Amino acid sequence: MSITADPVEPVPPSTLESERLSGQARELAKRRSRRERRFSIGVKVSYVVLFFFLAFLFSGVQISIGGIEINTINLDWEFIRTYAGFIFRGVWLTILLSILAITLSVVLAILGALGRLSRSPFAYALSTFYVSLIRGTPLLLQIFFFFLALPQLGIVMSGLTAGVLALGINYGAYNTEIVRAGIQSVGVGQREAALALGMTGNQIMRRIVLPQALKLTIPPLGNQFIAMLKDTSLVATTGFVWEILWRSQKVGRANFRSLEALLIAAVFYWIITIIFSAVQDRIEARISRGERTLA
Amino acid sequence: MKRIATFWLVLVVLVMSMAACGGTGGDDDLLSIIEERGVIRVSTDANYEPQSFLDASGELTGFDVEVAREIGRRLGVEVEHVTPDWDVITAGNWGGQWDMSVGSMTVTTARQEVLDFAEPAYYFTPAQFAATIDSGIDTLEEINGQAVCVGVATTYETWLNGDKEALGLPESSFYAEPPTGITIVPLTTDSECPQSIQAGREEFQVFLTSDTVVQAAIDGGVAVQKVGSPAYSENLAAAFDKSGPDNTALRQRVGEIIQEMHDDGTLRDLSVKWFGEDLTANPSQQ
Amino acid sequence: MTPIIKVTNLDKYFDDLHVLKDLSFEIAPREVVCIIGRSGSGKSTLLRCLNFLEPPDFGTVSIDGVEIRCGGQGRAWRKQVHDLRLKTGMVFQSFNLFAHMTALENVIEGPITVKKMGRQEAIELGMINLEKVGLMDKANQFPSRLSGGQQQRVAIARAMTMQPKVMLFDEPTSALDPELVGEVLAVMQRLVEEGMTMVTVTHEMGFARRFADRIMYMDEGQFVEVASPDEIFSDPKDDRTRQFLSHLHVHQHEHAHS
Repeated sequence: MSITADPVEPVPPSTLESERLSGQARELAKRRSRRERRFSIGVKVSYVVLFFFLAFLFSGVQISIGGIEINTINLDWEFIRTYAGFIFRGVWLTILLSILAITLSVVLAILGALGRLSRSPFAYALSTFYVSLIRGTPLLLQIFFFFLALPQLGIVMSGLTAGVLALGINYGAYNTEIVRAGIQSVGVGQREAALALGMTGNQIMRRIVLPQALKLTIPPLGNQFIAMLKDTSLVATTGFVWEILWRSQKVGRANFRSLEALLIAAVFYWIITIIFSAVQDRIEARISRGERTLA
Repeated sequence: MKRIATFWLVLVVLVMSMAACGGTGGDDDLLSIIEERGVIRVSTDANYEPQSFLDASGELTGFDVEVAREIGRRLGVEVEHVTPDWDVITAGNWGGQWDMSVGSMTVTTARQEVLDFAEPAYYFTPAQFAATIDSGIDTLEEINGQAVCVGVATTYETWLNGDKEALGLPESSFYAEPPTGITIVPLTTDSECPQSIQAGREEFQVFLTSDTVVQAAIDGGVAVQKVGSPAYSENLAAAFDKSGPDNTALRQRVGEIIQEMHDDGTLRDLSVKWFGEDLTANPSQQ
Repeated sequence: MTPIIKVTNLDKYFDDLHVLKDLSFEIAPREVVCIIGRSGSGKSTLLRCLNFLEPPDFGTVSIDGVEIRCGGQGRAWRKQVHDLRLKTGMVFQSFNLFAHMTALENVIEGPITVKKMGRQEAIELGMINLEKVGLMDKANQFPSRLSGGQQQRVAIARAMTMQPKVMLFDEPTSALDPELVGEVLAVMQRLVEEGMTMVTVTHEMGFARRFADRIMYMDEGQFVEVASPDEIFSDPKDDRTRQFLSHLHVHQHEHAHS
């Protein structure tokens, strides 16, 4: 005798009824898609208007409307043409800095998060101290510290190294909280199941909790990476790293074209951000789909 | 996952250790290190026209840059320019990040505590006051009580502070006394003074820098004029870090090269090219 | 016959709350024991004390020769707890499958990581168990793609692949939609028929009535009544037992099949 339940057959609605229902469903779907289309068109139109406004703003024309003089911004396009390439070549350094620094910061964040969750008093104290100290001092100060202060102790490093260390350690402290939240949001049931199987704390963290936690932290960490792309500009202050901002500052000042130079730099940062944001969206979509075959 | 983390960690450490490879072994002297390396690293300012600045394609050029390249050529090594801030260069203790400064640096007693200078100087410039045309200032007396802009850690800043001892220049090179009651406004580098004026900033109307920089500003269309005759003259030389590997041999060799460049007219030609006049003759010997 | 599980004078406190009061009992090999009671009676806590998911505060727990005195510390003690857990397999109310691994990966994780079994060997063993629970075709699916009943069956396969001596079930069907309960109970039935020692906390009275050798009714951290299913269901001795049973729909999941 088996205890399995017999499935119950659903009763089909009458034909008339089903026609009315599907008609309503179609009408509702139509209304919704109309609304969405209207909104999306509205957004696209707004972008076009904004673009034309900006084009007008930087066109350099001077017009009078009924006695009011309108002077639009006159950019030195010659300068832009000449120096855009030089400023652009800073992009690789910016991206390199960001990748190295974010990697360091994730490693530190994992260690920091484990420390903050640890039952060892020393690990907890150390990680809390690290987070507090780094979050309590300005990033720029930390960059200067690596570049200017350490040489007094005999520790000399290139501008690139100082930048990577400062950014990596700084973001490591902020990312500690992100990773910690990720670890804590892995359900306690996962741990219990692993314990019941006989896994040790280390194994559980390595095989069960961290993989899931890191997947959860990819969106916020991705945001941090994009923020870091911008913070690399602070390394320009060391004078040694010829990244985007340093290049635009130098040529801008020297040629009295800071407006054009900084606009160029801004556009490059913006484009990089847009590209990496799109990449991040792709990665997030890929993860949430998550279907794998056995290797 | 652990493997990925390890890989990145190793990569990061590798990159950092390569990048930090500015320091050198303790025993060799600087000249042999440079010759073995095949490259000499020279510090320069990327915003100090016409001595050193970026051209339209973003390449470093200018009087100092070309002098350094010629020195490197005669040493038989490649020249690599790096761009730390000026006040970091004058503080010495470069930690091996670069080997020589060819940056229009004046030989002063203060700097000689941390730096060694090649002899002879490679050129001489007068220190020149400039003021905005609008300010109507055209005599040195009118500068008293003004705000005066200078590059930080320059001799101009030191002289305005009245610290002649720190300069240690021969008495014959001083042509005037510093103005009184002034407020000093130090910016990262000299060129930023006329650049700020051009940008319409009003924190100061007067600045003090090398005559070459003033001339370059005027030629560049900044609305400033020279005020009075030069205040003093300075000898500008190649500088080397006192700390770090022994620089004696290198310094002597560079000194010889510079003398050669004086004798065969190279320096004079470069000076005329960039300054429109020959600044390589020592004014106190005229 | 020597008991496979022996619990002596077990006490458990949550802060000041005395949740398990001086419990002692034995379970024989191949015996099926169902623990029933209201929520808060301590039945889940008792089960979780058996594999030290909740460490008991006082008393001893012994399973298949591994005896642990509660309240211990240190490396040797932790090793004992580890050995104890290897003797038991646990199935949870909320399945607790590892979300980032496929069904098969879930099943082989224990043997590979804990027992250092070779991967091929583990896969073979795992597939056998997946086939036993009827989910061989779902081996490469992630838990998010499986129904509750399927997830629980994978969870059972996962516990079984560690080859435990005793299976502990903590309300295995309470979180399932009614139409999925049956498939899980069918798997449990199969385990009974294969002679596995089982301790189950459950509300499925139909299962308990048919397969349990003993039923323990708990209330406020103590055993109120322990008897065979027939005795307890038809003639409960204690008033509390009677009250509890009358609130349950004893016939809810009984289906007569010939």
